[in-house]
Amino acid sequence: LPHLVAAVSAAALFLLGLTAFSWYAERVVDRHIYQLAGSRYAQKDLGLVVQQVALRHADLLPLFGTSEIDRLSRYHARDLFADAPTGFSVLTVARPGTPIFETMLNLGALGRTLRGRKVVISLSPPMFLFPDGFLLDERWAANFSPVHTLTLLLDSVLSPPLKQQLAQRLVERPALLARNRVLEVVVRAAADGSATARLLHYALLPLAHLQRQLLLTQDRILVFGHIMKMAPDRAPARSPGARPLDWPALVADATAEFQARASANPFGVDDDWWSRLHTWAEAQRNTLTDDEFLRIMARSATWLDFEQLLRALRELDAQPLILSMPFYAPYMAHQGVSPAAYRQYYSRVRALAHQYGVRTVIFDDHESDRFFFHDLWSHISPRGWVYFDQALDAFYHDTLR
Amino acid sequence: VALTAYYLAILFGVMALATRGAFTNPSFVYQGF
Repeated sequence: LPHLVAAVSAAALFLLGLTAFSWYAERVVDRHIYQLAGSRYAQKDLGLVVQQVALRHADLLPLFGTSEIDRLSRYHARDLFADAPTGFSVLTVARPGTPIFETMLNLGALGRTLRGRKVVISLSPPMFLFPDGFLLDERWAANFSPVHTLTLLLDSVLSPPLKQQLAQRLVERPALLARNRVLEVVVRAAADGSATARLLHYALLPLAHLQRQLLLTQDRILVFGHIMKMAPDRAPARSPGARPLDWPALVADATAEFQARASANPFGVDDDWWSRLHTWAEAQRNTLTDDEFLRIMARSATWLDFEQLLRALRELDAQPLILSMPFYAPYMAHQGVSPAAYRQYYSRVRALAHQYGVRTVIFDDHESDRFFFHDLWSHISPRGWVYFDQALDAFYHDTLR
Repeated sequence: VALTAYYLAILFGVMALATRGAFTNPSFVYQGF
């Protein structure tokens, strides 16, 4: 009997303690949300609590992407909108190499909190140029989030057929699922879809929910610890809507700043980048033909990722905007690919997005813009960022043409 | 009290095991495309 009493007391104290901590941690996250929203902090991308709290603030625009969004620039939306000059700041969710499929799992995990919410997703064209994905195993290992996947599968917002298709694709990556045994069984049951698997799914539900709660608590513990270590004076002073932005002046300033460190190479990209990688870049001369380029692009599994992302966004009833860097015309010519070939990327992205009623801004009118690109890997220069910022501002204020 | 603390320690241990490695992803060193 003493053991029973002690075990029950311990379980009660444990649950009470975790519930109280979760409630308190969420309040602390909320108090620091503007400081966290634009920060480069891995737990924000891999967990959920920061994103969920941020989505309660209508003046935070979520911006999902990959390395092009993660990188630093004085003209990056995270800095330009930090004090909400036109009424909003951005929540960035982006890590180097994030596969679009993981972005979709993340959005699916946010579920109902995205209903009616504006959300921006940035695409990187090179991701569509590798049939089997470029370093996909490494990119998945770096960006896969068990709590996103489990939450998506346990939540009822996405339709069962879509969840089954997503689970079937995850089963092809056993190394990721091996990181969490409960998740692995849940994913395999969801992928199977047979009556036995459904039975197994229902039998596993209590354990799966418990596992998810433990992961969500761990997320709160990690974020809470991070906040305790954050410098208190790093929070930007917000003065919403107090400072209208002079876009032509910003374009001129950003261009002048970048031009000064991008004029010692033939492409007008960052000189430091060029000095490190010019041998690689020069070796790309005439390495492709139009036919090869189109064949590679057509076979890329990223198109399926993109289509499933669009489908998920529709089921989530979000208001998405798809942004994409263009291809850099001088570099494509250097590689041997004609505009008629690489512009098919623009048409296909637009056609797919249009099919799902999603707006796009591809910046293809900047494909020959000399200082728009930080490097030859589709990263955004300071000048490029000002145009991205302008699009984000127009989207947030419903003035996007 | 000692028994309760013992069971609490077990529960925290189970939690640590159940969440092990969930948020410790290796970093992806960007090599470009």
